[in-house]
Amino acid sequence: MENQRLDFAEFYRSSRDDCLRAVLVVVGDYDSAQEAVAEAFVRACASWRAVSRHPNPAAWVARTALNVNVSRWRRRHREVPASDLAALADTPAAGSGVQDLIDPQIMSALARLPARQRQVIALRLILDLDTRATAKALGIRPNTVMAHMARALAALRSDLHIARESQQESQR
Amino acid sequence: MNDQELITSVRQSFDKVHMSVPEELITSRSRAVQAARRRRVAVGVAAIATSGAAAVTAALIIPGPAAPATEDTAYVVSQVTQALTAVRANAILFTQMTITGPDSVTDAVMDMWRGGDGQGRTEIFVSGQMVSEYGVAVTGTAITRVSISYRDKTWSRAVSHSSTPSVPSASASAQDTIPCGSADDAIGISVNAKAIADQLRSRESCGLLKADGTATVGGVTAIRLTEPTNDGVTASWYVNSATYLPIRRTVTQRGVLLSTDAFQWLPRTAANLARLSLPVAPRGFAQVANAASATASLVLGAFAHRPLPGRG
Repeated sequence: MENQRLDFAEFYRSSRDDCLRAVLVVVGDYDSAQEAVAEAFVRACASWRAVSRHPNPAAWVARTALNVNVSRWRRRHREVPASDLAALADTPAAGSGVQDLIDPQIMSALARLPARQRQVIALRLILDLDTRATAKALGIRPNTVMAHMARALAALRSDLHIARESQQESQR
Repeated sequence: MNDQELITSVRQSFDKVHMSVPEELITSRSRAVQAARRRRVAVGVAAIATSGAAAVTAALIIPGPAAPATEDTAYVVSQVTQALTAVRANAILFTQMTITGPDSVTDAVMDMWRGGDGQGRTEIFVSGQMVSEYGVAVTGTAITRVSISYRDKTWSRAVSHSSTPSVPSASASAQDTIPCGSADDAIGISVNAKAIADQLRSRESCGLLKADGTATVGGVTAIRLTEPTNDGVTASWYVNSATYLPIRRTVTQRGVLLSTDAFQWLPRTAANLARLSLPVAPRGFAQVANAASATASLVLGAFAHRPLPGRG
């Protein structure tokens, strides 16, 4: 039991920041992301015997946190008209609560990506999962992960290029 | 910008993002989740034994944690003790004690901040005006106490040394082995996590404390631990049913509310840590040997039914 606790403690210390960053990429709001990640770690700790055998426990936590966030989001927005759901689901609260922590241009560019592309960026770039592990975590095919990744990078590059050019122009 | 530069740029932009939830809160909460699971399973097994398969379905959907039975008091107190131990080093306890009893000569509020390391500050307000302020700082074996009397415009500072580095007791009731049966021990002011844990464990081991139901406190489902005493005074603790951290304590006498302690477990942010710093007397206040004594009688009138904590 004590060994289990120690293992979990080590896992928590080494992966909590990466998990939070990955979920933040998708969710866009620091408080919501932290709340969801904390809940996911609680579940991981409560089922640590099983979770520790997962090929990538950090991916398990990130996936669980995203599910927690979706569940909470659904509960909060149950009264939102169905026609608005698609638009809302794809639009994280861009930059809310993270202005002081993250480059706002990058956060805005990430927020403009479709949800699935943000998830791929979160797992591939922040959690550093390979294509196969990302595909498994998201329940999609590896080729689809690569396609989403390529599109997301292209969109980010374009967005950041435009943002930096307009910033340079305004400084002149 | 090539792919690698872009990826590095995105990764680096998240360097300042850190998880601020202490590990102890995660493990403490997970123990509560496991306990709730065990209770649900136990209820399910009992249902199988008694009422057959039809009853199982109903029992398994009972939301946990359910209202604890009397025999669960030891379990609840054990969970509270674990939660308090886990939170002790990572949280600042803020207690606001409000006196509401009909016999109190004036409306009085005591705000107390305590860190796990013995530092703390207490502010006492009467009719909305701060009358006294106390602070304790611990550095190695040195314990510094500062008292300010706003009524007398005086302040005092005392430094004492203990032979070993120690945390000064913040609660008269937690200072000694608590004898069973004393009403003072049931309602004494406990203002740090260790004192609360010691007090609850002692009262439970004496068989005086009973988990007798649940209640909603500020929107949170709480387990109630009640201790009736001889003179009609009842102390009731309310602990968060998910985290097992105490969130409220009330003292009533024959149904009349005498006082309420509202507990908040604050993260150790810079702003909250600042509340633990020693108070500074306003300019013009005279330094005296013991600034607290002049206002003590006024304040004690308001808190007469509650044994006061030590200074800090």
